[in-house]
Amino acid sequence: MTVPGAVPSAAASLTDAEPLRLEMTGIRKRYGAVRALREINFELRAGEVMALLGENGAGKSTMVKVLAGLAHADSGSIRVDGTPVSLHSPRQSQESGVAVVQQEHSSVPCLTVAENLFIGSQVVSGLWTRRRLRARALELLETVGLDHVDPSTITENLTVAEVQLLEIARVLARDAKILIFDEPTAALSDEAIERVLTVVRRLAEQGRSIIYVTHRLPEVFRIADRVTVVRNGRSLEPKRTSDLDVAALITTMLGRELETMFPARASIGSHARLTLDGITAPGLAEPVSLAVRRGEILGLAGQLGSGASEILKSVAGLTDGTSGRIFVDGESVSTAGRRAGIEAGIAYCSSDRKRDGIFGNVSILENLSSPWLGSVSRHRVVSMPAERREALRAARMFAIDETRLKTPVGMMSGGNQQKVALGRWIGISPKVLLVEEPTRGVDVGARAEIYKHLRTLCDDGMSILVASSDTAELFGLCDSIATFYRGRVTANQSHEQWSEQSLLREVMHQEGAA
Amino acid sequence: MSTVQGPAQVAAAVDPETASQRGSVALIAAPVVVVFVLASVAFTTPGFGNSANLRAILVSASVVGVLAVAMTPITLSGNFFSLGVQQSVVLAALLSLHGSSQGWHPVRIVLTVLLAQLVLACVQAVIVSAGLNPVITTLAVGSVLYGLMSKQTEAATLTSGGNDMTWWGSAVVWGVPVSVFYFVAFTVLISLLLRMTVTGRHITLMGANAESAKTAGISPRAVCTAVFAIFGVGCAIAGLILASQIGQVAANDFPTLTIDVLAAVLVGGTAIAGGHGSATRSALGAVFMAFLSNVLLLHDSGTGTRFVIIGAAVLASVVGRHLLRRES
Repeated sequence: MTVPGAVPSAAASLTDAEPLRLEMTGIRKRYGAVRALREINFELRAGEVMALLGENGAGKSTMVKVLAGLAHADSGSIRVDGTPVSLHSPRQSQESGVAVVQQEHSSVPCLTVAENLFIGSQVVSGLWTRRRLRARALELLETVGLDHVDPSTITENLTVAEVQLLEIARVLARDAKILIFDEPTAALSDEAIERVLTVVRRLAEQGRSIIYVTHRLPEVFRIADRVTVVRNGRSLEPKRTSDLDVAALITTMLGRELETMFPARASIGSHARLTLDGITAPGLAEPVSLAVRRGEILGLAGQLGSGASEILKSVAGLTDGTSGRIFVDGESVSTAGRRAGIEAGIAYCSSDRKRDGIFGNVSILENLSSPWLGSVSRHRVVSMPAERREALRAARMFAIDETRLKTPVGMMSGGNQQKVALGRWIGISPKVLLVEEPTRGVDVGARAEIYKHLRTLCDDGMSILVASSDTAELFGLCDSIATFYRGRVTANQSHEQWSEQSLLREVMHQEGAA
Repeated sequence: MSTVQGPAQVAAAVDPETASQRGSVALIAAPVVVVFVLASVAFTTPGFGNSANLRAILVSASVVGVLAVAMTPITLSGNFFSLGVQQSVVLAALLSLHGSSQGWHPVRIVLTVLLAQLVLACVQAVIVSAGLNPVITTLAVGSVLYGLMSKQTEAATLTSGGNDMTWWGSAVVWGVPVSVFYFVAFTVLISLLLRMTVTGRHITLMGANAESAKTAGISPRAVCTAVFAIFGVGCAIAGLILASQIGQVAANDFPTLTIDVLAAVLVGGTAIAGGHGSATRSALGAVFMAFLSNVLLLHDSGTGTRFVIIGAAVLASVVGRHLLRRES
């Protein structure tokens, strides 16, 4: 079995003698006919980092919502420090000492850091002076490693990692003793992840209890004391991280063994499918020239703001001010507007599927047909049979349940949503597929499936550009990898010429070698 | 490589549709109950069932209905609604009466009214698609229109001058006012457009998620132009009907028209944020509102009482649908 990830390292040990901070017993929750939580029994000790793992749709999010007071359990009991609590609203949850650090940032960009820290906080009264707020803010910022940030800084001037750390500081301002981290590193670069993990571990050492939800398994071994897996709405017995390895963890999560993560590479021809010649665009420091061959997966590695995502958006026709020349099979393609790219066979799948990758309340069928409705219409009247036929083809190709085509895609799991976000481009018969963060927020099982689908598309002649901040993903999947740093291409070579370490070093640009 | 569809994913994929179906049943059942209750009220109301009254309801519903149906694409596309309904309709009516008084051929009158509305639609579409708020834009354009019309007519009432177009809105075919036929035909046309054409589907997708729509190559400007054009056509039809039925119009006539149309769209259940709703439901919303007004009128309810009950009905409808949707 091959699974990407860092070598497991022991987290700080924790004895069973530590008092129980949180107990959830017999928690059940239904949404109409959906049994989101069938039986959750969960415990968390003081000063412990408990990883909460499971496939998309397993029930982790519902469990977090119950603790956050956003969903009411149908049955079961919750105790905090041995005292029964009812968490029927976010305020009750906050008063019980529970706080959630969401993946999506909730800070207000135009406010100062100090103002953001104390928005909605119950522990700060209206009588607090600016000086007092500043002093408290400095204290909190230091706790999360943001001591270099002035509390009067406007939040939009912070980096993504700093905003994530600010989110953590915000929940600390509420004096929370149980912190729930819901995929806090999903949108972060390796360097930023390192900072967040350090802070999480430090908070646990200070006695706070942490529930850490993630799909990035190496992180689990870095910081978690124990692991609770949720499968099909049921919690399994928690296990010590030191008793597990990555393979055992995946098997526990899936309920079966996963043979391989990445599909085998096929030989690639010499025919240039996509050629970028001197592309300049906002976010790129110098013109970028790249070539992708037919059937090749080219990885674009780089941290946020490195230029890797920016070049994909430019090629897709989504960035105003793009110049330079783009050729698909030798034919010049306009960079002005998305429609020209689609007509040239360029598909684009962004890193944030909820924002611009899917239509959550719309059926899977209509999601799949959204980019190519015109091709199944005559005189602008849509041929329903043709639309369904094409949608079924895409559904089959991406193993999307064909009997659920009328289901709103927002009701599907994250993995299935991502398959729809990718599958909707099949109908334009793309020659080039541009994908950002193809497996963000996707569990390990669906991740392997998506890699397999991408490779199958390449085997059928498509060329794929993948931009990802996950270097292990790029190393495992791609035929060639180009690295980006501060808007420039710093290296571009075939997979054989990279090692995972050299790739990481290049991405960090030797600022923090692995 | 083994298959990777996990049991959790299967569970998540299977159950939601059942939930969705249950939610749909509830969403259908609720209006049926409401209709049943109102029908009981109506048939115990003296004078409700006579043909003249039923005809009055249909005529009353047809103008608001055409406008509600025309407004639906704007709301569906995520552009909220137009607050310039009254002014646009009055413009259409004034042009119709002006043409009529000048002895224009009916075709010329219809084409002139349509052209004016389409020009107005294009102006608003250009402004809104440039990123300006549609509510503010339509309010401002409506205000400008009102000012221009007041100035032009010197706040006087314009009449047809005897050379009218009464047949357009007041003819009766098989015992049914012709305006009802326009209403039904327009509803069917817009429903089909929204469901079966590329433009209609793009309108709904734009409202469901504008960013996803742009990534899929759907042009916000094209969608914006289409929805305002449809709205313009609706205003043209409504203006022509009203001009022919009443035979005289002043710039400040039909003051409650905008709110009546909004109420019909909302009662019909079109999501105010876009992406969900239908022209047929807006049409039913208009019929429901006309029906309610009529029953209250027959019960000799005062204007104040009628407004209170109609407002409460809109509120109950919106809250009820919201709760049902959340449950589903």
